[in-house]
Amino acid sequence: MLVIILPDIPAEDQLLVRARQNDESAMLQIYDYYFPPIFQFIRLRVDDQQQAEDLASDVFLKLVQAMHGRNAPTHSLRGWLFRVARNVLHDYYGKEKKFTTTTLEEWLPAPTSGDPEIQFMRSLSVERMRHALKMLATDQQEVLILRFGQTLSLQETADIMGKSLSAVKSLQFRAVNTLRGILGDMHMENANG
Amino acid sequence: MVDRDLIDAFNECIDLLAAGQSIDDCLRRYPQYADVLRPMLEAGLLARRAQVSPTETADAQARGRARFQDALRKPAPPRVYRLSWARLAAGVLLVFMLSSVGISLAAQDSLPGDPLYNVKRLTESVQLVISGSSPTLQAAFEERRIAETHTLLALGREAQVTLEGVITQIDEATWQLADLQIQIDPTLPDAVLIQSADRVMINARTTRQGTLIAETIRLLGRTQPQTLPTVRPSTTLTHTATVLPTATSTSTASPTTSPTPTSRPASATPRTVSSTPGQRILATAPPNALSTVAPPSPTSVVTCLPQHPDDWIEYSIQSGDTLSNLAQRSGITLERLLRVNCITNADIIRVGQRIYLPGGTTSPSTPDVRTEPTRQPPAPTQIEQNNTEQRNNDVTPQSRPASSATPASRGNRG
Repeated sequence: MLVIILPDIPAEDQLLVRARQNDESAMLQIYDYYFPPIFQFIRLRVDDQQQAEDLASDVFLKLVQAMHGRNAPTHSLRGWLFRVARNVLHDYYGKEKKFTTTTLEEWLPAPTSGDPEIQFMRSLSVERMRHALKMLATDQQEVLILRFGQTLSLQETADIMGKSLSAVKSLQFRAVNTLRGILGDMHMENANG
Repeated sequence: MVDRDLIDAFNECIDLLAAGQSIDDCLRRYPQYADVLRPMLEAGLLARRAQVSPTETADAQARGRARFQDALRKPAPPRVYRLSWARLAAGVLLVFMLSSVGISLAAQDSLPGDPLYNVKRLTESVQLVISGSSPTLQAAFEERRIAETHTLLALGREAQVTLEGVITQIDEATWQLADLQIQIDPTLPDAVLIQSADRVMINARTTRQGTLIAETIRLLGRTQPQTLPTVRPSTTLTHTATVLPTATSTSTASPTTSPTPTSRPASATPRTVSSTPGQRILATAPPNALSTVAPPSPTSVVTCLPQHPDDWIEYSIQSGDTLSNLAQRSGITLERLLRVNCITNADIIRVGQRIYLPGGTTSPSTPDVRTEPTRQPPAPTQIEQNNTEQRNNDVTPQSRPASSATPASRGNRG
C-alpha cells in the first residue's frame, strides 16, 4: 500500500531524526504540536476527563519508547500517533462498540426557523453533539472525527484505521447518515416535547 | 443500492470542506446531489463542533507535559531483542540438531524452577522407560530429588518439589523422608492415612527460610516384611469362625505409646511393630512388591501385619469383587479395609487372595457386631479415630477397654 507522505511539515522528518537522537527539544516540539489533536480524538471517545488525559499520555509515552527501540516512526508521524491512539482506545474499551445512553431531558428545544433539521443541528450544544457522536459505533465515530474533525485525507484515514479507501468512503457515508438518524430522533423527541 | 457516484461525491465534498471551502461550494459542484448532500455535510460538520474546549485541552497538555519530560529523561530501557520468527525457527532447528545428550548434560545440575529442569526430568523418564523401570534407577532418581531439595533448601530458594520415599513421623506435623524434614499439616487430605514407614509421594515447596512444606501427600504403599507370617489363625475359613488374633501379636495388648524400634522383617516370629501408639501392623499375606527396605531411622522399620478384630474372618476374593464393594458390603470404609489388611496397592488384588473382613461380609453387616464406635457404612471421614481404635481391638470387644489403654487416635503419634 502506497503511503502518501502527508502534508505534514517537511521539517517534521528532520524533527524526527533529531528526536531519534534523543534531542529533548525536538520531542517536546512534537508533543506540543500533536497533543491537541490526539487529545481531541481521545477525549471525544472517553467520558472521563482524567482517563482521557491518561490515555493521551500513554500515546506519547509509547512514542518515547518507540524512539528508544526499533519501531520509531520515520515519517507520517501524525498517522503513527493516531494509530497508536486508536489502539490505546481499543485496549481501553475492548473491541465492543460502546454505546452510551442519553437522556432526553438533556436535549434543548429546537428552533423553528429554516430547515428544521439543519436548524436543529446548528443549535446543538457541544455536549449534545458529543452525546450524539458517542451513540455511533466505534468505527463510525472514528471516521467522522478523523475526516471531519481532524480534516485528514481519505488516504491517511485509511492508513490509520487499517481499511481500504473504498471501505472508508462507505464508512463515512454510513456514519453521517446514522448520525443524522440519531439527530433526527432527538429532534423529534424535542418537537414532541 | 446507494449511488456509487453519490458516495464519491460526498467524499470529494469532505475534502473540499477540509480545504476550507464551504458547503455551497461543494453543492455547486454536484448540483444533482445538492439536496441530499447538504444535510449530510451539515451533520458531518457537527463532528467538528464536538470539540473539546481549548482550555480543557491546554490544561491537559500542560499537565501531561511534565510527565512526558520525565519519561524523556528516564534512561532508555535495555534493548529487548524481539525474537523474529525466522530466528526462532532457526533456534529450534539448532536445538534439534544438538544432540539430546548435550542438552540433558546441560540440564543435569538444574533444580526445580530452572529452565532446563523439565529437560532433566524428561531425560530421566526416557531413561526409565529404556531401562524398563529399573528399580535401581528409580531409587537413584529419588535420591536426586532429595539432593535437589537439599540444595534448594540450602539456597533458600522457593520451588516446588516432588519427593517419593519412605516417611517417618517425628511429631504432629513434622515428618522425615530420607534426611529431609517436612512439615505436613495434619489436615491435608490423605495425611491422616499416612503412618510411619509408609511409602509416599509428596508435593512440597521449599521456602526461603529453608523449610520444606508439604502441599499434597499420597500414600503409595507400606513396607512389607519379606517373610510371610506364621501367625495365621487356626480356625477354618468360615465366615462364622472367630478368628483368633495372632497370639503373639497380642502385643496388641501393649499398644506402645512411643515409637519403638521395630524388629526387622527377617525375624520369624510375628512381630508387633509400631512406631505410633496403637499402630500395630502385622505381617500380611499378600506380599507386596514394594520395597521392604526400612528407612534409615531406627524408629521406622515397620512390617505390616493385618490386624483385625477377632470377629473378622478371612475372605477369599472372588472374581468380580472389588475392594471397595467388599468394604461397602462389610460396612467399613475402604481405607480401613486396606489398612487392616495392609494392602497398599488397591489395584492389585487377585482372585483367591485372602483378606480379612468383618464377619458376615456376604451380607451387609451391622456395625454393632464389632462394637465399633459409630461405625456406619462408608463414612470415609471417620476413618482415623475409629480405625485405630478398631485396630487396637483385636481381642473381644469387651476387652477393648483394656487393650485400648492408649489413645489410638491419629493425632497421638510420636
